[in-house]
Amino acid sequence: MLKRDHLLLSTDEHFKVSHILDDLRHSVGDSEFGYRAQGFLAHALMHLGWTIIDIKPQGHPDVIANLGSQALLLQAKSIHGRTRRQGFSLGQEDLEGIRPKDHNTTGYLAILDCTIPVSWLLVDYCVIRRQVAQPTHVVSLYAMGNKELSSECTEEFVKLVSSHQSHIRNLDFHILCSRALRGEPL
Amino acid sequence: MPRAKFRLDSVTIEGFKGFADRQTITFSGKHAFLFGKNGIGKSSVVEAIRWCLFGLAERPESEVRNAYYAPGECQVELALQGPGGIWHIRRRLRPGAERSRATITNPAGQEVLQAQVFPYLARMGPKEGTHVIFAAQQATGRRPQADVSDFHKVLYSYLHLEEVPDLLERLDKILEEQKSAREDVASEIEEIEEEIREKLRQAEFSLEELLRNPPWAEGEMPTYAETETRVRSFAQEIADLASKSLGADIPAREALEQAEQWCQGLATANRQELQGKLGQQRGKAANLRNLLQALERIEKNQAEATANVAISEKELASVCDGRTTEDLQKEIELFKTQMHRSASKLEIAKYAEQYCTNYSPAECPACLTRCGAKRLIEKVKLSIEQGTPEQIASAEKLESLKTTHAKVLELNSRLDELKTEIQRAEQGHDSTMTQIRALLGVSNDALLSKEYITTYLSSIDSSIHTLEKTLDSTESSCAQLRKRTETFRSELRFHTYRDKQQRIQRQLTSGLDPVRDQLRELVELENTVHNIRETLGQALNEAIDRALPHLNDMMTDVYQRLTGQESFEKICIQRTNGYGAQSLQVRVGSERIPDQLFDPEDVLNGQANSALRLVPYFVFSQFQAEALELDLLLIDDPSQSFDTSHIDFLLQELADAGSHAQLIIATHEDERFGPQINHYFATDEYEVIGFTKFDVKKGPSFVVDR
Repeated sequence: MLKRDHLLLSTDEHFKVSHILDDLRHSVGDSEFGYRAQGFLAHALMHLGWTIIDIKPQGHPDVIANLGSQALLLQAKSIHGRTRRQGFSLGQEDLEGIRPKDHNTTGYLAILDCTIPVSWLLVDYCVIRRQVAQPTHVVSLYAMGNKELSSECTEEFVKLVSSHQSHIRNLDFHILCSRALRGEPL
Repeated sequence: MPRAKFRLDSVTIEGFKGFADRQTITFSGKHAFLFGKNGIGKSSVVEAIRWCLFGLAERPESEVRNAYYAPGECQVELALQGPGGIWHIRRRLRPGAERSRATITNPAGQEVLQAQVFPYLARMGPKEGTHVIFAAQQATGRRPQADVSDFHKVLYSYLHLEEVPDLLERLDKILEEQKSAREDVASEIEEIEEEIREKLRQAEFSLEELLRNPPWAEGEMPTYAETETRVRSFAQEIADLASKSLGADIPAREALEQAEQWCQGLATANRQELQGKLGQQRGKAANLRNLLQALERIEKNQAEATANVAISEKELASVCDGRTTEDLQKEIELFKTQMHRSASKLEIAKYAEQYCTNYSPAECPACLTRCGAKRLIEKVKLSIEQGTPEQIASAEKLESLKTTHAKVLELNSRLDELKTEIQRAEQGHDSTMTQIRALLGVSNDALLSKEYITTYLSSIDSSIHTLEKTLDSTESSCAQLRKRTETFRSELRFHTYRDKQQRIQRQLTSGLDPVRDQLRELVELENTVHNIRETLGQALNEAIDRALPHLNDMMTDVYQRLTGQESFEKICIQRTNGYGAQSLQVRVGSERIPDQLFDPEDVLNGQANSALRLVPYFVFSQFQAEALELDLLLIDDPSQSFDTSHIDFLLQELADAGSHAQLIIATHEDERFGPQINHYFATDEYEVIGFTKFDVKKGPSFVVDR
């Protein structure tokens, strides 16, 4: 049970989830947290109707999803207080992973911003490619992001984390991946 | 081939470089070949034309002033044959001035702006002495200019895309500005967000502190409405206790404050009243208790005194043994008399004894009885012996009587004292009883038993105890009310913190929407500019890529004709990334090594390089002739720029250029040029001006050779 549950009973879920993620990150470490963020993103997309084709623990892109003839390539990153203040910098390899191969494919950089209030931020390849290797203010990335898709992913993600808050530590990357790839909701 | 709209009719020079006094060289719109030795003033003419058109923006203009020319005036005036007659361009560097000023007048003598006549006046000149000057027709709005060192401009002009690189440059600048503006806004937003987050952390910390000991029972976090109802109910309760009225619309927080004040008022009033009563009762009890003690003390003393009286009286009776004090006194007096008499007798006997002893009378001197002296002495002695014990006994008796008498006196005195004491005690008793009656509020004649007083005192003590308990209870009630007040205050504080938390959360989410929207607009604008730039750049590159093969052929052709180069006979333009001066590089190559291209600076000699720089002019000006208003080719000393061993090639190219451009060629190689001019130019198409001598004070001298 979260130490701040009592406090958060009536506050906004997005803020509450920030604290849940903060605790989770402290509990599992930055690296595992990054993987889990990737897994949760896949599930959020699944809730939005996408079929998860691939989730890569290594290599690029992190998540590949399909919806009809449309394909999504996603590179997931997570940021929190300190890293957020330093500005976000995307590497060339990460960018290459989400470069669309055809007109039916869209590449997105997906950033999980763990600072309060939590949100996913999806920035189209065509926009983010201009920011490669240069630190960019995260608020600038928000302005560059796909507002609608970011918002949808955030809402689904917040619902997921809130509803699985009690056993969130048990939902490791393997469980998240295998279920997403089987199309099984959490 | 159509000619440009304006032709140079003459140039008038004063105080410029080698020129001193004002002199005019007339061309009459024809080509001009300026022949003469080096250092004789030819170059000054070429420079003067260029300066008049463009000034000397990159260097101090005082350089062009003839320092030996006393009036200090420096000016060049071009007369141009143009629509409606002669137009004048006059540039003047006034004496002492740092910068020159140019004016253009139309044939009517009216001053006109350059932008109205030569809006795109441009030049190309790889180095001093060689200038290609042409201006675009106003209507086309195009700006042709060329130089091998600015080859990209030549090409863009050729492709009718001369505005694009500038546009791209401006877009780059706009992008830089946009990015900077966007980063500034983003930085500000992040700072604001961080401040808000800090406030949120503080609010949450306050909430956490408060919720460590929640003011409500576990799991019963109240809503604000519930807290408000409870606070109002509590305040109403206090208002009723304090006989006050609670306003119906008063906010919960104020109601609580009001209730707290009433509570304090109530507590103070109750405390004061109870403490007053308690003090009164305690005082009464203490007084009564003191009086009782005093009474007891008096009674005890009285009893003791009475007992002492009895003892003393008994003792007195014993001492007196049925006698009175007077009797004792009389007896004492009697004994005193007896004592005195026997003492006298004894004294006489002693005297008689002394007498008898001394005088040994035969008869008693008192009674005259004859008994002899001896007998007399014996008799006297016997008398003394008999008289002394009696006297002693009397003395003892007297002493005893005296002692008894003294004892009686003492006892009597003591009895008096005791009686006085008893009397005083009785008075004290009465006084104390009067005080007790007064304290108990009973009449003076009322009978008061000690038991009654004690019972009364007990009742006061009981009352005190009751009051003390009531006071404790009141204090406890007040503490209880204070605790409830504090609890409600904590609840209200909780709601305040939570409201603050939610308000800050709203600030962090929707509150910053306007600035975030502004940032989004900046980003969208930046993206749009990026897209435009990329599209434009891509289109430009595609156009260049399409044009380059044909262009390479044309340039190779002119280059070949100008230089007859055999080692590197091919010109090839390479496109690199970007759109600036370095984006198109002129390279030379050879069919013999098809895969390799070279930098001309590395492989060509100086003359071939110089010729190469004019290749673009010869290639492109043909295409633009019809668009030009002023088309001048100024070449100062072609031997510096061309391989004059192939002068026929050069003259052919110049003749081709001369079909549309007006040539002003200055050379010291008049022997080589002069004989061949006629082969390439009609005699009425050119003037030959021979510079004959140079005077530092007067300037060059020249003649027109017709």
